[in-house]
Amino acid sequence: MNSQEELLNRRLRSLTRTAPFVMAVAMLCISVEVAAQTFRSAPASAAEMKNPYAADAQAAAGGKKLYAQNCAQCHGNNLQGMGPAPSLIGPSTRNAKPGEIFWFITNGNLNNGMPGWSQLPKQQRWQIVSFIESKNTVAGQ
Amino acid sequence: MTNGFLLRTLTAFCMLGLAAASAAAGDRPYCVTYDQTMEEPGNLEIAARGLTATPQGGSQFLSGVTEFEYGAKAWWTTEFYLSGQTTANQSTLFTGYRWENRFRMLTHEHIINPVLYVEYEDVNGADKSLLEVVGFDSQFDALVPNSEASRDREREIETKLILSSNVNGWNISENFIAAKNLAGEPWEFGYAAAVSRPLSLMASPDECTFCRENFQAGVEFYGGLGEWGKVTMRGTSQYVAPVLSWQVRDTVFKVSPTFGLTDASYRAMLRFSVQYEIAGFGRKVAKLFH
Repeated sequence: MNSQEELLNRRLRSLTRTAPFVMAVAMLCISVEVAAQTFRSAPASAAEMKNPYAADAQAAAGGKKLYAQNCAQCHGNNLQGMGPAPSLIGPSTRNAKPGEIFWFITNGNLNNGMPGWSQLPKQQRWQIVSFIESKNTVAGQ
Repeated sequence: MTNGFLLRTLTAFCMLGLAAASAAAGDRPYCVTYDQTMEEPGNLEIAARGLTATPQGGSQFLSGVTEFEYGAKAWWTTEFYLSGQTTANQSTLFTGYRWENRFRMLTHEHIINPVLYVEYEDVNGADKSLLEVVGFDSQFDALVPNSEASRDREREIETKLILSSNVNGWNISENFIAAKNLAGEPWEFGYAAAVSRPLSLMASPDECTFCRENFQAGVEFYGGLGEWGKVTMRGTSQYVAPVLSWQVRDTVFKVSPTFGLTDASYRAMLRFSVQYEIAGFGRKVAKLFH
């Protein structure tokens, strides 16, 4: 065995020894990343915001009207999603905190075509959150 | 121009608005000031704006602007204007076009949200649309007869820094304007500032025409700030204008009685507009070619 082959073998042995450790660290990083993921990259502070109109049927009814005016043209009349605009019914939205949905409505995702809706008063944005949540509650039952 | 003519024009604007089926969204009531709101991507908003005033010692005029605003991206809105005017005892004429682009500079919502505005305009000297006031713009500019003023061609680049904040239901917006006539004249400066609020911050559960959330009210201030090397408010036009908008179903009407504060300003003007959106216009056009 010449010196080059010996060097290669040594490196392979070293790699075999360290690979499990590297994989374990990678898995840990991925699981931490998954655990830290929030709805549409909303910051952790967003999740702490409480919906002042939670379970308020009147507010949700107003939210339905606002949704029809401002959101339905992209997300569909039944929140089913249209083209690049995703569905708002399903586990992703159902598992999101109200504050995260509020944050996303406020900021949008300008690089992916979702405008921010900060021009609507925050009360109206919360009403839209109430409406989306009420639809997801019904769909989840 | 007779009052009958003005009445007919106003009626036509209202009819146009009531006939519109569209999706309008949270538009501010401002007639001059821009806020951070961009057109939704793929939507086309068509607006007809009018302005009527009488310069001291001159004839009453009515200027009209047709506006096509398209949401190219969520952060980029592009807009094309065609303008014209009619002056009593003179003539009615097309005065030119403008093409503007607005770019939202930060992707997330902040306390102050900056938007960059760049416009190219090619209008003649008879243009009386007063979409902004810069430099030493004056009511006396409108005393030049249409036949003479229309021979003068103005090609300008106009830039604005739009700063806008939404706080507790209030919108506060400031525009800093710099305009340059490409014929080599100095930079001219101006400003516009405004504050507004919906009459109700919550949406009522039922469909309604006259509920308070459909109305927004506010006030605008705007005027010239002189030119390069001569930045001043002396000799400039300055205005204050209450503004009111009303959203009927999906169409927005705006009205703004405007009052001049300096000798160079028109003593009073009336601005009015109607606008509607064609939701998903880009998608519909794209379908035609597939």
